[in-house]
Amino acid sequence: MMEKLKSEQFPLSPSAEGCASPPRGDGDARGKQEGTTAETGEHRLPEELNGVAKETAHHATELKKEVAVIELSRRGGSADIKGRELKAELSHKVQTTELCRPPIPLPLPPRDPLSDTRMVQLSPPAFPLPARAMLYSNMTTPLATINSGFAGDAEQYGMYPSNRVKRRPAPYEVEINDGSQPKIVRRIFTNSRERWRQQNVNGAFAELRKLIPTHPPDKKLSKNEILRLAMKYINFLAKLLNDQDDMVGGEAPARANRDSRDATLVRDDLLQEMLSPNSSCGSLLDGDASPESFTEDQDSSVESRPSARGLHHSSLPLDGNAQR
Amino acid sequence: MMLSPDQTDPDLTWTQSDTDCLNVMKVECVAHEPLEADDGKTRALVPAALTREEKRRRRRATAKYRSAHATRERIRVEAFNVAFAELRKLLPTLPPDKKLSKIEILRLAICYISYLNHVLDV
Repeated sequence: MMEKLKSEQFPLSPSAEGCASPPRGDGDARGKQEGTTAETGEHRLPEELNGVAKETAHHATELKKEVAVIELSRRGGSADIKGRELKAELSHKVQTTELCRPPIPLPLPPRDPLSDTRMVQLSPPAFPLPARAMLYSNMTTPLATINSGFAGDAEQYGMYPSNRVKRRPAPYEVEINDGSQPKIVRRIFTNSRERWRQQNVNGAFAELRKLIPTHPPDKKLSKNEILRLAMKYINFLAKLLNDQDDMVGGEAPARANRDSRDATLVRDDLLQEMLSPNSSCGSLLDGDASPESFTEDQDSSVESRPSARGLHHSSLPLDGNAQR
Repeated sequence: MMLSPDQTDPDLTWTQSDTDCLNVMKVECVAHEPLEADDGKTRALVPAALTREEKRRRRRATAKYRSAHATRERIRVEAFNVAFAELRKLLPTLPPDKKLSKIEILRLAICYISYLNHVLDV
């Protein structure tokens, strides 16, 4: 009996701590008191039944003790222990209210991350927009410039030979002084377009070179030589075609023999003409006042220049300027 | 004996026109003679011996060499453009005297040569 009472008293101590909160909330306390009165009314009925039966079960005894305590409080009036028990019940209700309080702040945290996610969503579209603008503006520029404008500009400056930079100082200085990006972008676009045009011209020269028969097949020829040999080859093919037409006309065998001889002669001439530049370089001709010697000198001079590729690269923009 | 005609030739070329310029080109083609001539000139002017590289640099820095270089470059470009014009005449177009750019002349020449090869093979 005493042990049970002590066990009941132990939980009272934390409830006592809880009692401190109710006096602060007067309205809440009143509501709780009303609830307690209702519960006590309900308990009266089972008390009468238990008293009549006089059961000896532990659970029944516990319930009786609780009921007895309530009755004593009602009959006697004020008892410290009893009052504490009542306060404990009130504290339980207070705890329930405390349990209800947590769900109130719960919706707040999820709202904050929502707003955070919205901010995150807003920031990404801002960054890629200028990237797209850069892509559109720099469609013709190489990938390096797209990756980083400054690095790209630096690379392009480095790519230019010193001759070009020296020859065109004014426009660069003017643009640098202005410092406006549209002009810089326009200049980069113009430079890329010119570079693309030069690459196309060089590609066409390479293709034409492949069509011209030479010995050895992969002999290195300058642009001027490629053009002149192309002219000779076109004339040779046209003549051969005309000869075939004549053969179809009449006296096939005799003309065929003559045409074959002419063809061999033309081929020999082509070979000799091809060999002539080398012979002129080797023999160091000293002839004067002959057109053939002039042409040979031109070819030899052109051959000597290919060794200095820089000169050719520098000369290319001159051609571009001439066209303009 | 040999040095004197080399010296005279450059003078004539400086004063006269294209043919002399072509002669200058010949002289330039010959690697040994101009070096000897320059050696003689440098010996006459400067008693101290200089390295070949230094001699070449000084020779190229002179106004005469710059003028000669510019003239040679002009001749080279002119020959290049003349070759394009002559190739243009051989290509069939409608109208015959249609104006074509360099890239168009090259591409048309490639197509025409391929066509002629095809016709002759058949």
